[in-house]
Amino acid sequence: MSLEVRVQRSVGGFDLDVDLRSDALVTVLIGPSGGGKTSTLRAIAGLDPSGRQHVVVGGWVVAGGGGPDLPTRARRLGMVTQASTLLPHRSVLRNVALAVREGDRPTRDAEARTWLERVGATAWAERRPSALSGGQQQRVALARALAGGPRLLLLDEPFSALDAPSRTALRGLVLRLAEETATPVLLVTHDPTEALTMAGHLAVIEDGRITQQGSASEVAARPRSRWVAELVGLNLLRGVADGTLVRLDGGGELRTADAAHGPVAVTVHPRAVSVHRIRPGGSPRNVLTGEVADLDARGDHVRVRITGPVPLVAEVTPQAVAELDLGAGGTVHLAVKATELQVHPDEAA
Amino acid sequence: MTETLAGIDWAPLWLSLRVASLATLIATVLGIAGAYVLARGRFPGRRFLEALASLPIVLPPTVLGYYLLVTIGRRSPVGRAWESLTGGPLVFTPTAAVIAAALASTPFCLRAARAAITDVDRRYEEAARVAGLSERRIVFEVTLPIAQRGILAGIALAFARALGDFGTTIMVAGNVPGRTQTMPIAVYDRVQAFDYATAGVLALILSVVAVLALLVVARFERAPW
Repeated sequence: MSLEVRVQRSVGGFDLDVDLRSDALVTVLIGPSGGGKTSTLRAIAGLDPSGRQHVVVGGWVVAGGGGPDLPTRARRLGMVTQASTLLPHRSVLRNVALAVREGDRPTRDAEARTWLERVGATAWAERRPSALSGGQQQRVALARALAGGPRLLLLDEPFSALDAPSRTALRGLVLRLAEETATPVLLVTHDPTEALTMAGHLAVIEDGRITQQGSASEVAARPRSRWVAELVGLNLLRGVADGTLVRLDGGGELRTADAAHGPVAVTVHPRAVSVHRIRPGGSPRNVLTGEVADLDARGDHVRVRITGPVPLVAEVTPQAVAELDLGAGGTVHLAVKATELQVHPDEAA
Repeated sequence: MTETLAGIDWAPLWLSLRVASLATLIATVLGIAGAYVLARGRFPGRRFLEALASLPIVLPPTVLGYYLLVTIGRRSPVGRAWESLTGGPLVFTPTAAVIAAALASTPFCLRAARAAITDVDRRYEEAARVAGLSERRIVFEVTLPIAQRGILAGIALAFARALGDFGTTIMVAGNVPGRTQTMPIAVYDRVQAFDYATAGVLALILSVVAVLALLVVARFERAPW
């Protein structure tokens, strides 16, 4: 399973020059709006045919292989976008059947029904899309995207218009179905938590260029620019929640403000991690102990990487580095407020 | 009143219904095809073509009829070709009445359909394209069905216009009782003969059909799905 995308096009003063390579099942493209995320997806789908493209999905050359680029309808892709594109005049079933490429009508309807079942939408088969909630519509859109047997699933912020529970459920569903059908996914998002928890391969796109790509933990731990650090430079910890207590996979425990159960991903911004030489006491804080591994000065702040049972990155001021003599390394205590910890059900687990 | 009803010649009503139905059929096909090309096509002269397509709405019907008469009259190439094929002239026949009504009503269907197709969010078409549909299927299974309410409203307007045409029809089809005398012409004809009772009944029928057409339009223009 591999994905190779090179796109070069220039529209109205905006230059898109993307070089994306991934072997992961789920590749996430994250970046600010106007950075070129959706343009990249549209280029892969062949919806904006101008410019140069080279798109290879699992060894299958879709565009830029010397011959003419395949038209959109022959690229065998599935797509789910933020706004529903289910046809308003067709039932849910007929919407999904539309994407089934082979067979007569009864065969296609039967195939569509199995997809509705897989996304848990059987009960709405005869309804019109407008009678469904946003989350239900996205389930149907996912069924339609997969019903064509795509070689690549393109997801353009499909969760962002949903409420939190629907979002969590749909993310889990996407990951499960991608795995079951061995369909690689390219997900576009601007949500760092979504990116970190779902990505096998994470690519950051800014101003039309991929500025950093790699595994989610790699990118999060060593952001190459201030901007990437701001966006995805979060501490990501995995564990199992039991109420407000999370037992971390690498050992250690965290107290969280929000209760959860089962596998979770916990994110915390490096700014919310404070560094002390003397163990802080009192307040309902999580106090962890580790060794200073390295310092990374970035203008007005310094990222301190701390190893230990719970590896963390803390962001402190240069003054704090001097006062605590962090340059000398050694043991430090880290304090994190329970309210600064964001707990997300771990879809990847 | 019953005496008046019994004495009325209903031929103009049946003729009008036949002429207007055929004309609406032509207006629907031409209107939707033209609307699609104008809404989705990108070619030089599109604006000019669009203006030209709406001209029959603003031209005086008799002027439109005059141009049509020049185009399909006995001495025109079209008229001669028709005559050599059928043995009779095209003008002053029910067929000429259908052509006149179609010409006058097509712009109504076209304009409504044009607006409705322009309003169809391209993302539906793109999603269908990604799902593997051919361009032909996208037109008939995505674009036109999504635009259907606007199109149906346009068809209702076209029918009302076709049924009510006077000026264009009388220029190219004349006033031959039982052959080209449609309802609006019959109303005029009855008034000229001081038969106000019959004129009133015919006027009432035309008015009811017009109101019904407006109700249909209003229904289609309301809430979508």
